[in-house]
Amino acid sequence: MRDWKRYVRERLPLPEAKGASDESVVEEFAGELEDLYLEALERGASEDEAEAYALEGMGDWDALAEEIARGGEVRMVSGGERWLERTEVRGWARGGGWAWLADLERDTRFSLRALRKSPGFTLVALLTLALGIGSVTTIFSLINGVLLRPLPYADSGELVYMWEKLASFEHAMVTYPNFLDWRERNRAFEDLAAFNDGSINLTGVGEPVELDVVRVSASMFPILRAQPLLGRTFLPEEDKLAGERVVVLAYGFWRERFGGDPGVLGRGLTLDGNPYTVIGVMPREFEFPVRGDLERIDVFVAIERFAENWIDNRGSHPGIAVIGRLAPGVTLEQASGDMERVALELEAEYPETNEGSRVHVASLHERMTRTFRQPMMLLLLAVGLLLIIACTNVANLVLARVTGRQREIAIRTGLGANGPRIVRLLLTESLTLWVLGGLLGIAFAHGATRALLALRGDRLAPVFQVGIDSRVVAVTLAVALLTGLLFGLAPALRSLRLDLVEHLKEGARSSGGLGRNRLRSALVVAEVSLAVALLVAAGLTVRSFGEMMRASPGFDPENVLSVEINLPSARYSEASQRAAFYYELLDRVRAIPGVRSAATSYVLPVAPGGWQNSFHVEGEPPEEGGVLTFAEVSSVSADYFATMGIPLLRGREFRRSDGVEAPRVVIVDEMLAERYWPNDDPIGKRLKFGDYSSESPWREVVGLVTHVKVNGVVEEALPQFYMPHWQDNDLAYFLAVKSAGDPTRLIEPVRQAVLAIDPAQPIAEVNTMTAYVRASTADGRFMAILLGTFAAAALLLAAVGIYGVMAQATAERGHEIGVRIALGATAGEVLGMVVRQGMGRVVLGVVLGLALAVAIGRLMAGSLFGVSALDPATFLAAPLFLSLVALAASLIPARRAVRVDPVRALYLIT
Amino acid sequence: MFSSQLKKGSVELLILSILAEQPRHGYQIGKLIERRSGGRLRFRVSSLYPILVRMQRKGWVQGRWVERPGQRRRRYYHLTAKGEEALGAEQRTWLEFAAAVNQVIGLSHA
Repeated sequence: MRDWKRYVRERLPLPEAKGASDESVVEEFAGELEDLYLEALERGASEDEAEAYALEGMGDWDALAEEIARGGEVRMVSGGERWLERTEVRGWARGGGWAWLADLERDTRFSLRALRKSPGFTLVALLTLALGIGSVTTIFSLINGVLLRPLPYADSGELVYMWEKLASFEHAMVTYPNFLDWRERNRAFEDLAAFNDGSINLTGVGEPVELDVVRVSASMFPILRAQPLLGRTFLPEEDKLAGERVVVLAYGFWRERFGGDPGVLGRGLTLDGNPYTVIGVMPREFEFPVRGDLERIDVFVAIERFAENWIDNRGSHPGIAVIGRLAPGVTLEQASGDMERVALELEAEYPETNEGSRVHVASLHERMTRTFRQPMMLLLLAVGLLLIIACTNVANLVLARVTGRQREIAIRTGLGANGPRIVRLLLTESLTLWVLGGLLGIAFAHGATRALLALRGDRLAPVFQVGIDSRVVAVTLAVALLTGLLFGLAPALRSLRLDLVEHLKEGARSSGGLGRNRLRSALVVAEVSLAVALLVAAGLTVRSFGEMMRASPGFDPENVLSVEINLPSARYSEASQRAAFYYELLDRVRAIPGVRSAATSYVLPVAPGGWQNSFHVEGEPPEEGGVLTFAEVSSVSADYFATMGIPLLRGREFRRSDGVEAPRVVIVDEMLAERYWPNDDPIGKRLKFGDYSSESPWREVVGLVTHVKVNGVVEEALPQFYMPHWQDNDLAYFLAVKSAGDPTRLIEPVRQAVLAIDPAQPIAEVNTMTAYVRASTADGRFMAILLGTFAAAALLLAAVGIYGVMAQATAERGHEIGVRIALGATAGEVLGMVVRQGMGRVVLGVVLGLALAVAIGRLMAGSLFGVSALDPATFLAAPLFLSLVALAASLIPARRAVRVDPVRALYLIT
Repeated sequence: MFSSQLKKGSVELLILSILAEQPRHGYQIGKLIERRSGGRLRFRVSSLYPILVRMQRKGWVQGRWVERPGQRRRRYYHLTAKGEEALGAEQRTWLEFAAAVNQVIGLSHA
């Protein structure tokens, strides 16, 4: 049996009153329906036919409600009044708060029912809102995880990151003796800890592997308030030059290598050929804050054990940074001031190394997030614009619906609902819509956040946990409520201005009031301007990425494989041992079939890392005030430039004969030659490390090569020069192999070649040069994909919105158009009139949007590569494209309008 | 003399006449009018119902919920004393009206 009462409730537009009289009206009509239905069934009709018959017998529901309102004053209106009264009385009786809640609940339930009644509207509105709000939620969950959440250390606000500021380098790593003095002399910190990262070879357990290691001061774990899962961390006496060799394992490494065996404590490990004892395991949730270039961290060792070459060298900056914890009550500014004092003391004591040297003190969190702040804010701005566009679309849908419901509203008012009551009801409907959209948006963001992390999660250190947490949910709902209130208010207030009498009359048509047209025009203008701004921002980013891709890295990365060789000092302490390994390595690798050429280099172009050193060109004036001149330096083998495809412009490559005993030689790049010998042949000129007074030997220029991007394609590099590997015999270097075909096929042969020379020597950092180039543009790609997606969504929404507004406005002018055509206007004239009016708003929107885009472009200027923030092409193309879309969106309804038969239009609309 | 209330008045008369016999519920009222007019007079619920409401307001009819075992509760309308008076008055008005109309029509044919 059908639920006829529900049937009536769903169709009869009466207020949501539960008074006995209203219930009885519903029940009575339900009885009528049932009788009609049964009657039809008895006559042999099908259920569907019977239902149709019953409905037909009921007549016009709206008219019925209207008649009830008009004719049934005694029963109905008093019922309505009683209902309102009751609400108020309940409000007084319960002290207001709960009544409000009860009203809210009732209004919400009513809203849900009303939304269910128009599934098409609801679906479109919800999807639009879910897209808009969900995009904001996605980006906010990123921002929340990275910028807002505190780092996962107790009282993490007290943690600071410190590095050196040199006279000639704004940000320099710290020298170990300076660190020791900082630690000794400061009065602002509970303690300081130094760290640097690197690799260390593990042997004796299966194949030799290179582990990623962080070397830390013994004070590091106490500063981070990090407790080990098993055992202990370093003692101060272990963090000494001659300290005991001990190692703390990271959780992942412990699980993988030792299967999570708790008996690992006290076990021996051979690292770089030296015996170490495992003293502790860190818990799974512990993440070291700064990962540097490491993929992951396997083990921790005490740093001073490795300080043999740095501990007395105030001029050496071996990649050390310092983390400190502020003493209780000390602010960052006070700490900065205190370190200034320490730096001045050291400058006075060690003028030759510390002249002009100062200390940067930054909050650790700020330091770790500073590269994310700007792009994330840009993304937030973009999704904010997208959200406003989405809300504008939905507001317009709601507005159209309010217009269509004028009769219902009039009836409600006739039933005794006052203006504010109606506004509240409509507003609740909007808020319900927006909150539902927000909930859908959270679901959307859940997937989108994962997609984002998959796209570029590697860029985020694991200390940042990005996901949907309670704060993200709260902010999303707040955004939903706020935008719902903002964008639901206008259509709701619009209902107050409806002419009730007019709309209770028979045949009341929705006619566009002047006010509503203005509101609608404003919506179109807003939508177009925001879409233009977003389109320009996306256009600039995509153009910038394109430039990045086009920018030549200065070498040919195709078919080049690179691996890192890291010889342990324990087994390769003698230069002769290293040389023997080195020569054999190159000979063996060059003999592998498919290898075109092979070479080594201390630094790989475009790959992370680099080696900057000060230098002095012969004949230049002495440096003053500690301001040194720096260059990117690398030591490379013979064939390096051929292997990397770096054009040799003059002179020669290095040869094996450029050895320790041979005269010191260098190859310089164009940038350096251009700067010092603009009109001279650089071959035969001389330079040396350090400043004019340094003891370092003069090195003669024997070759000139083109400039190469060293640190990613985006960064502007310093001038470069190269030394022969044989004259700077280091323990660690990269082997680069140019192959005839797929370079990854060479990985195994290269590994075997290394093992054939030394069975305990692993290769690490296996990569292709094309992968490094790609990685260096990954940020640009990420932003281009994201902003491009947002802009595409904005464009789609704007097109739909403009079409909707135009279609409605044109439909409402059907009568006028009919008159015009009847009076002899041609289709072209009418078309022109409709389109002109629509495009007037679009043009206004474009102008405002361009102004907004200029402002956004200014924000973006820093992250653009090879493109001006006022790029004319983008500023022309984006509005043009949008205008075309808008034109198409307004042409469709306009064409439909002129096809209307004028007689029919006049008849229908009058 | 005969106002525009005529049409409405005639529906009220129909309802009053039907309810004069015995109480009926809305569906029955509609069906009886339809049957007795040979299908010539049909009212939808949306037309009939507001008139019933108005008649209640005037105090001519009263509704009462009646429950019968195994059936849906129905609202039966019955005439009040005032309604019976009204029926008499309406019948007189109708007869006068009809006579007047006939007279006019008769004249026009003459």
